[in-house]
Amino acid sequence: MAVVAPTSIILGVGSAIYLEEYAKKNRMTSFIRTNISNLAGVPSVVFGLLGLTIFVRALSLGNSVLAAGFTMSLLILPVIIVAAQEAIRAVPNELRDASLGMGATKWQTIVRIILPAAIPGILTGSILALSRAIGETAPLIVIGVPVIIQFLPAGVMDTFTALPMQIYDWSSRPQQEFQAVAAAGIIVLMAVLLTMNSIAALIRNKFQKRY
Amino acid sequence: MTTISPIKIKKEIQPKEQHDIKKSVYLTKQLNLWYGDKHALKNIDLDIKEHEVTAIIGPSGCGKSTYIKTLNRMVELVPTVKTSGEILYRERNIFDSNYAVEELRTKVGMVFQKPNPFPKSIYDNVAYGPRIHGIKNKKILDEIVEKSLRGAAIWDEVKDRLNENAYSISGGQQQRICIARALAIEPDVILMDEPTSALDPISTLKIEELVQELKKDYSIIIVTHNMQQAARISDKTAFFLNGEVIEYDDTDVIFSNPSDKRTEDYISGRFG
Ligand SMILES: Nc1ncnc2c1ncn2[C@@H]1O[C@H](COP(=O)(O)OP(=O)(O)O)[C@@H](O)[C@H]1O
Ligand SMILES: [Mg+2]
Repeated sequence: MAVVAPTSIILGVGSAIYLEEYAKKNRMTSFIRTNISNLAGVPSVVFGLLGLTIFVRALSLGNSVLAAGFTMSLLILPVIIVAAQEAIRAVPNELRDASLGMGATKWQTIVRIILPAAIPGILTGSILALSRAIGETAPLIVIGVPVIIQFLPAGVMDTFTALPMQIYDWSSRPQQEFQAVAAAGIIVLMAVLLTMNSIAALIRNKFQKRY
Repeated sequence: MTTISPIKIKKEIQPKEQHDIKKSVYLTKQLNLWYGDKHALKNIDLDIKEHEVTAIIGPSGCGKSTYIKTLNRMVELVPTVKTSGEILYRERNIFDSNYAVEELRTKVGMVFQKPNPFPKSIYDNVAYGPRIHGIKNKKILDEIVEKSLRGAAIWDEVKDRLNENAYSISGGQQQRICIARALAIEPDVILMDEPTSALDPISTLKIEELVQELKKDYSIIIVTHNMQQAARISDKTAFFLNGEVIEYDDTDVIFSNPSDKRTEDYISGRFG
């Protein structure tokens, strides 16, 4: 999470700003736009393979927290870009006009007017995307993350595992104790997901259209 | 001696007299503008004087908004726009490649058709312009905000709620906040594009009174499709039709003795 959230949000919002505010509207950019939406629908295993090739092998990060974090970021990046694009597009043009009309530069307008107005939408989309990342396992299996670990990872280069995989492994063991641990794991996972989704809903309600 | 109608005399003498006292803020020469293939402004020549209210009237789609958005180059936000000709603002061509639009727009404030305050507090709305131009000192900002709100005749109504969101006040008040926001950058010219068309009659009246006040310190160019409004508040009136200036003269001349048949038809409500 500590890797996934900053990487994907920074890259995602940056790309959305570029696509919405700077890129010229031509064939090339509309092709890119369409394909970002398509990417959001690509099965996660495929992203796992991509992560395996790029991060684990080419950049030799191994099956570490960092490699998995980057892979997960790739997976949710399209979702965040699309959400951020929509949030930016929803900011009325009148506000851009008002700001530019006072001699503000494009960048000042983006930083002071457009982003603040779009942030609720961006955050909501990002949190929902992140909660998808928590539940995902397929890409991690592909990049070779061990199914279970017995010790906490100490740093970003350590091996680690994901909660859903731990749960799967625990619950398939015969001993009684593991059933209880699995149940606890499920509750933790559920609680985290519910919390994130409620935060998203709260943000959305709090900042509901003011213009 | 041939008989000359009194209108003619007035027309010949008055512009000359005014040339001597009032300077031009905007001198438009042979301006043409296209949206792609659509020729929206055709050979516009207009001499707009300082400290006057210049009204631009005409049926919808005739190019009024296009023209005033050209004066601060906001029209260039439409990617297909092409222009030719010159607009001299205080003797400098605004289309010069080394004329920064930000600099021009700092001198020329704009008020839009629909009130468009930022989704921020009233204070932050008015302080927006000074802040982007680098003023951080709270005391100076406070002073600018108060002065601008007084200038827009809304200080008394909002002085106790400066930290409330600008959307919590009425549409008419929002429009005056937008005027205050424009005043805060101490412009030279204020462009207004149908500023009262979304407002009720009482708010409209307040804005009209305000325009009269403001012309002491600013030059105002106002688009309106309400002819009574143009007659009430402006010194000069330009009548646009299909992207051309049909007639441009003192407002009383336009409304009492227009020289073009089409102007007469329009102001007497025969079309538009
Ligand atoms: N962004 C645009 N793209 C193409 N044509 C436009 C655009 N804006 C305005 N026009 C056209 O230019 C003409 C003048 O429009 P406008 O200046 O808005 O008229 P007015 O303000 O007098 O009603 C109209 O025919 C309109 O269709
Ligand atoms: Mg218009």
